[in-house]
Amino acid sequence: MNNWLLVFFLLFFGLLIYASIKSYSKNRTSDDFILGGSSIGSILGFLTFAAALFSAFTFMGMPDFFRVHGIGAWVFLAVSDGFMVFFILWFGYKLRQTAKRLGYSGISGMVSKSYGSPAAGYLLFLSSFIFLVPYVSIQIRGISIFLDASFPDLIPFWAWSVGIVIIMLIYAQIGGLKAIVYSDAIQALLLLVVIWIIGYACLKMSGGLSQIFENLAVTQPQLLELPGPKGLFTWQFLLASAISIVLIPVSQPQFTTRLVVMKDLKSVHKMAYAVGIFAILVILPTAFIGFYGAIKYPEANTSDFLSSALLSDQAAPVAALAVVGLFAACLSTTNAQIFALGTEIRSLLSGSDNVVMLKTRLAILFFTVVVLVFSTFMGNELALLAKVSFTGTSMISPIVFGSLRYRKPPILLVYLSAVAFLTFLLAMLGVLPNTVGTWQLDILLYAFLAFTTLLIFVINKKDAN
Amino acid sequence: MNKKYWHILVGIVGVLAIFSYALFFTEVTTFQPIAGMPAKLLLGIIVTVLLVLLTYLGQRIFPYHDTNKTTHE
Repeated sequence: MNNWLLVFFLLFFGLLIYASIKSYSKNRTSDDFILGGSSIGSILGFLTFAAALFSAFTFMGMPDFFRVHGIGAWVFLAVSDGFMVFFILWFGYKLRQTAKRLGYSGISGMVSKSYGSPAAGYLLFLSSFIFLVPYVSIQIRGISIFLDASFPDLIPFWAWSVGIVIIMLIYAQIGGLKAIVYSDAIQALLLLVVIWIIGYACLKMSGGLSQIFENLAVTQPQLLELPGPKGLFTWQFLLASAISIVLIPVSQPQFTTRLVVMKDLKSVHKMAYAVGIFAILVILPTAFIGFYGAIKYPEANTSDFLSSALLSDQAAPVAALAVVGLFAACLSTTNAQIFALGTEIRSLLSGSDNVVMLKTRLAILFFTVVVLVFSTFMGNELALLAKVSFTGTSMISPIVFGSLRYRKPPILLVYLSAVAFLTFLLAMLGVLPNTVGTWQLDILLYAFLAFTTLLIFVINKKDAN
Repeated sequence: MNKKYWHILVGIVGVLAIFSYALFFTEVTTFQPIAGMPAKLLLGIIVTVLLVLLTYLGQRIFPYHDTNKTTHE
C-alpha cells in the first residue's frame, strides 16, 4: 500500500501547491486574503461549501454512527441537510441584502455594526470560538489516531496532528480564502470518489443491500428501527439536530462567509441544491460502510472498525486512496473553521490594512496552536461532538436574524441569545442538567428562543425592514 | 405570481417538516420493512430527495433578486 500512498499523496500535495500558487498575489489587500475577492461562482461555491460541511466527521463519524446507532443516522444528517439547503434559498438572499447594506468583513463585525454594540459581535465570536475549537480539535485527533493505527511504527500520533496543521497553515497563509476554496474543490471531489469506492466495496463484501438488511434483521434488528439499540435517535434528538443543522449557515462563520463571497444570488441558489445532491451522494455510502461494520465488526471499537473497514479489508490502492481522502476531508473542514475564526477576529478589528492583516494572520496561528493543544486530550465521539458544536453555535442565531430584519435591531435579542448560549454551555460543562423532566435541554432552549424572538419581532413589527 | 408560488413551496416544506418529525420519524419497537428496506430509512431517503427537489424548484421561482454587489470594508 505504501507505494500507492506515496503516489496519491504526491498528487494531492501537488494539487494543493498548485492551488496556493494560483491564489497567491503579491499586492492583495486583507479583503482579497480573507474574502477571496468575492467572485466565487456556483461550482466552486458548491464544492467549498460541501467540503467545509462534509468532513472527517462524515468520513469517520457517520459510518460508525450507522454501525452503532443504525438507520436513524440518515435522518440525523441527510434529512436535516435537506431542510438546510432549502433554508439557504431565503437566508442567502437576506444575508446578502444585509451584507450589502452594512458592508461585510465577517458576521461578527456585521452584527456589531447593525446593533451599534460590540457586545453582539463579541458574543458571536465567543460562541464560534468555544464550540468550533473542540470540534476542529477532535477531527484532527480522529484522523491522527486513524493514521497512527494504520502506520503504528512510523511516527507518534501527535506528529500526525502537527503535520496536518502545518500543511494547513502554509497554504492558508500563502493563498488566503481563495487557496482554501480551490483546495476545498479538490478535497470535496476526492471525498466523493473515495467514499463511493469504499462504500461500493463494502456493499459488495456484504452481499448487497437486501442481504445486509436480512442479516441485520436477524442479528441486530434494533439497528433498523428508531431510536436505535442505544435509544439515541428519539424524536427530540432528531428534531433538535435538524434545527441545529438548519441553523449552521446562520451561526457558523465559515458558511456565512461563503454565502456572502459568492458572485451573485443565482450562484448561491444553484450551490444550495447542488449541496443537497452532494449530501445524499456522500451520506449513502457511509451507510453501506456502517452496515458492513455492524455485520462484520459489531463489537469492535471505533478505530479498530475504521482501520479494518477502510484499510485492511480494501485492496491496496483503495486503502491508500482512503488515507489520502480522509486526510483531505480533515484538512478542508479544519482549515475552513480556523480561517473563519481569523475572519471573525478581523471583522472586529480596526486600523490600517497592513496592521489588521498582520493581526489576523497571528490570530489564525494562535487558533491553530489552541486546536493542536486541545487535540491531544479530546474524547473520541466525533459525530456527537459535531452535534454539540452545531447546537452550541446555533444559540446565537436570534442576533443574526435581528440584524437581517431591522436597521436597528432590539438589543434584547443579544441578551436572550446570551442566556441561551450560557445555559447550554453550563449544561455541557456539567453544571446544569441536560434534561428537564423528559425534555432535552436543547429542545427547550430552541422553544424559548423561537417564542421570545417571534414575540420581539411581533412587538417591533413597525420597525422591520 | 412567483411570490405566491414561493409561499406555497415554503408551506409544503413546513408541512413536510411537521409530518417528518411528528409522524414519520417517531420511535417504533418493531422492524417494519418496505420492499426489503427498513421503512424509516426509506422514508428518510424519500424526504431528503423531496427536499432537494423542492430546493431546485425554489431556486427557479425565488421571487427576490440581488440588486447590486456586496460591499466589503
